[in-house]
Amino acid sequence: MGTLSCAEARDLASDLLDGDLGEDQVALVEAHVAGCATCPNLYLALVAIDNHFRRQRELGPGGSEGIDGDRAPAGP
Amino acid sequence: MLGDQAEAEDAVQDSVIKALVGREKFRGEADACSWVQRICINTCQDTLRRRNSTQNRDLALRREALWRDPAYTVDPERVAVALEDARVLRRALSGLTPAQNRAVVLHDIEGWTEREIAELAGLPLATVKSHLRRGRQALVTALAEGAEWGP
Repeated sequence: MGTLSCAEARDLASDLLDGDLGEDQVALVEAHVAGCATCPNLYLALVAIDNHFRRQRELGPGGSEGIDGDRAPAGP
Repeated sequence: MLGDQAEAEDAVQDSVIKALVGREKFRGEADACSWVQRICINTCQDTLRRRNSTQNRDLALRREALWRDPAYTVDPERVAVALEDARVLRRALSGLTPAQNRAVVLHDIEGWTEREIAELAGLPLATVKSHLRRGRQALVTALAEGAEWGP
């Protein structure tokens, strides 16, 4: 895979956030995002979601207020 | 997972009843709490499947098509702002397909591993990864649109 299409880069971006990509794949995604007009904002949006949920998890059950409001304990 | 307090309470009630009725099926391989939790997750999935399943499937297809379009993009600031609105976020999550909802809620919100979700759902790991990928993408689109497509 020499270069990535937008669809391929967008799919791999999710795996990138999970740390599931090897160095070569990370470099491919980064190269695509650096030269693309539309993918950077989609990537930033995925990062925003990842950061938001990560913060909520770090806050613990009470940190789920962002989703469950003032209801108690977070659950499925 | 359900984005609706009343439905969530019904699901918990149904799950407790199912657990009590089916307690002889509990073989003690996992702890009782995990067993009831699994029942509850499956009950929520059933509820999501019953509710707006056609609408959410159509939405999922539309969103997948958007993400395949090289011209498609969003305003990440708008997504970040929408994330802080619990009502909008609940609505966005409940607009995902049941499989996407399960993957995003359990992995990204509850901190389960993809492997744990795969075991719970009886699905290959790659399928769960795909649900998570599509679910996150759909969530971005829903939040960028103000979750206006949610039920």
